[in-house]
Amino acid sequence: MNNYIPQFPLKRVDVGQAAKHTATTPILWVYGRSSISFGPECLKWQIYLLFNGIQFQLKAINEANASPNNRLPFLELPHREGQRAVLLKDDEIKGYVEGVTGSEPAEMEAHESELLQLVEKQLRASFLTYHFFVESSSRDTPNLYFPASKDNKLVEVQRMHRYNRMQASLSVEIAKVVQGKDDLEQTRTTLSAWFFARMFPSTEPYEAVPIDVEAVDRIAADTLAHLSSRLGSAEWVLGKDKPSYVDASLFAYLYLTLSLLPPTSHLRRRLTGHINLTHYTQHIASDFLKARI
Amino acid sequence: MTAQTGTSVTSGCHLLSVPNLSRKLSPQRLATVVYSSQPEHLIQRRRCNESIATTSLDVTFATPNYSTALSALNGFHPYHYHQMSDLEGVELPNIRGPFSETASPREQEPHLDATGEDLQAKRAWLDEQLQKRLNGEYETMGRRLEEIVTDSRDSPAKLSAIRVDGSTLRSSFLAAIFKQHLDKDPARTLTEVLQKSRNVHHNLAAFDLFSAMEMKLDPAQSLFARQGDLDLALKVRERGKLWAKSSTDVGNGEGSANISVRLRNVFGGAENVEAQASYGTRTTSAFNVSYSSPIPEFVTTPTPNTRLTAQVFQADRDHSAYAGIKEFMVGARGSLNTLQSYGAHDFTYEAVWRNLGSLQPNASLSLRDSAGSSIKSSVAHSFTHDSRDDIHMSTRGGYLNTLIEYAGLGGTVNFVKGQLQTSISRPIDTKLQNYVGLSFRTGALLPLGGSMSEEYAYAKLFSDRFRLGGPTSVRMFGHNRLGPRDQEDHLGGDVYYSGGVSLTTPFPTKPHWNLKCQAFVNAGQLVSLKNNNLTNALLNPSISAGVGLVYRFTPIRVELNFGVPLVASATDIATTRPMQLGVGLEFL
Repeated sequence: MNNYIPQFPLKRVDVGQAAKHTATTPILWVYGRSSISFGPECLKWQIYLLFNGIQFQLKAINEANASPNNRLPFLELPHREGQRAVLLKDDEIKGYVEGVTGSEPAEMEAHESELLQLVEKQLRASFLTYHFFVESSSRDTPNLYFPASKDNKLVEVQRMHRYNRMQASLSVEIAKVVQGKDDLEQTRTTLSAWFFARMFPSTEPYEAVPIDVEAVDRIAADTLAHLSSRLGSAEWVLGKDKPSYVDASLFAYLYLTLSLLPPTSHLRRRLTGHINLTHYTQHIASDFLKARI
Repeated sequence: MTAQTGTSVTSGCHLLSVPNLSRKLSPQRLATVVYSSQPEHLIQRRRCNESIATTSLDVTFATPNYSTALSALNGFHPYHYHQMSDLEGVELPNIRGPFSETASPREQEPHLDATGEDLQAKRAWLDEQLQKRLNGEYETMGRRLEEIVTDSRDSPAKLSAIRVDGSTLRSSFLAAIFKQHLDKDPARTLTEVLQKSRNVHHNLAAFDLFSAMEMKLDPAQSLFARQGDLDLALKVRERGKLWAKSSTDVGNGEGSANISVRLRNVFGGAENVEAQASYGTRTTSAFNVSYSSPIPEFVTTPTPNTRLTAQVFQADRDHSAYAGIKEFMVGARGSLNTLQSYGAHDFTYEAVWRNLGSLQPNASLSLRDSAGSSIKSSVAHSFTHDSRDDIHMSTRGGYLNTLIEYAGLGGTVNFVKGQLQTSISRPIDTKLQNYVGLSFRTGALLPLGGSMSEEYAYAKLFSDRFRLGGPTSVRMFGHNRLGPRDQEDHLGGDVYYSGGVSLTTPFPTKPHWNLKCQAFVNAGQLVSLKNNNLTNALLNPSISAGVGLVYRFTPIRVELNFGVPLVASATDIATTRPMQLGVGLEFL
């Protein structure tokens, strides 16, 4: 009997039921509404690919759930129809770029790591605070991540819930930078947050922790001053002859500070006070993104 | 006191033949002894005798048990005795023995002296006789009651009031129910009153609130009552206020453990509040709270056949058996259900937030496009007509279910969806108890786009698409593993149809078993509207055939089938072995 069973089904018909996906160039899945991503992490990798001359397409998915690690961006490598797509995230993208460009993967020097930490902790925390939590400069942020529908109260409720979850998650990240420690003391819990946490357990918090904006502002001032002095009159922040991963990261936060925050924003005014950082940002945007600030 | 000799006509009482009676009574002393294990039964039956006015000469012993009956007989000390003195002087018939020691005891009465006979057998025989007697009495009383009713059917009577004792239903609710019986078309004769009483009983019973209901017609208590006015007195016992159940369910490709708690008649208007939590293999966790009630009396007359339901629900679903993604949903639903003689209508509004996430590492790109949140705000109507003799293993009758759903009343997904499910069963040979079943299902989903881009809108309909294949669908294919596919993920389709023919026969030599044999042929196709050649795809169905065993448990049906897929699409996944176990409620 075992000889006969594999003969079934007696007839296989191809009626075009298989989904077809092809990619001739890598595709970067990002938050975006235009050719430039508005997510700092997404823009970092976008500009890093451009720095390294990688031809790629941008796909605005705007859903972190689509990612293998629930965070955007991720890079879909070229594949033929019927092939399983390989998806890269975070440092895997860096490894891919190094592989394509033929550059040797090198350990970061101490000052490079320190600079990167400064950008990805302090500068990031400053930008996120102004972009998400300072009322005067974060009015348009919900619409950016979760576009408002025309006349839909039901969607509005869902949109605000998702935005609040996103804020809660970011507030924890910012508070860790401000307090300089990884374990935060829980100061308060609302009834709704307690209920949601009980009913729908999640690794993401339901409630934002309070943010000391003045402390963040002090951190931003120190960080920008330090970065400005490090850059000096050099073309790239590490003083090399070509852009690095640190430049990509620095550019992402500086560009978004100048393009997303209103001119009255404290952070933006502090940044424009450092003329070399502003020129640095304008020069990269113009050369690599063909964009003006 | 001595027992009286004479004829005995027992009527409505229990006859006890006393063994070795001849040793205690002379042949001339014939006694009919009434035995009951419960003295009050005896007294009631004596009343019955008196009311029917039998001309009888009874020597009646009301004794608590058989041994007492014997001792009473030995001492001839009757508990109750009466004699109709007007029979004195009537010539006694010549009755001769023997009353025991007969070769064939009357009605196979066990004989205590005989070998192998014991007291138990005697008791069993007595119980049997008692039951026969009771049945006889019941029939007699029923006939008598019928005669009384027939004689009085045209006598003038009017239902004046309905009184309910033992209910916690609010008075306005009861008044609204009874109003139709009292005001409209007032009853004028006893027959009409009885008819109305029956309607009231049926109406109340249909609310499923009472474990027992006694109905009695009393003379009207009202000071303004006229001659012939009657009150319907209902004495009810309500079911428990709190009802809880834990169960393990298996069906439709998944198993689950459930806990349900229900509060009955919460506000005195037959409202139910029910909370249910379940944990399963595919719907990994689900929780819902529902409130249902008849239409309140301040809107219209409440009826048990029309109910309003409001529900909030939450569920986690694991689609990983056929698509590497999980779904979380939370929502609310309101529905109006009406049950008519020809079928049931269900009007529903549903608002549900679905979140597709937790993708498996190897999830396909199509699934990644579907990931994220969406809100469905939809109205739907479904109609069900069911005339099957058995919902799990019908031998005759038909089933029809239609569904029309429109989503786009404020959510992020917009579509129109229609579905038809029908089946019919007919006996082939009633002697051989075999029958044939035909079933057909079809459905279509038309995305409407709305404010979103077409591609984006299409991708977000993953949760709404049809799925096909599996033991309760097109057999010998994997569960939900027919139709459009990306890598290992079956994405569901927008148009489908499936049909099945099955021939069911009793298990050989065991026609009375719940285990039956079946042979089946199934066919179906599920396609996407994105398919470049939709017609060609629809005209090439996947087909399977096989034989199997069907077992009907009371709540579900279990099948063990042996078969093969005959024709399949390139993307279809068939079962790896020619054997498939199916547990569920509705089968193709």
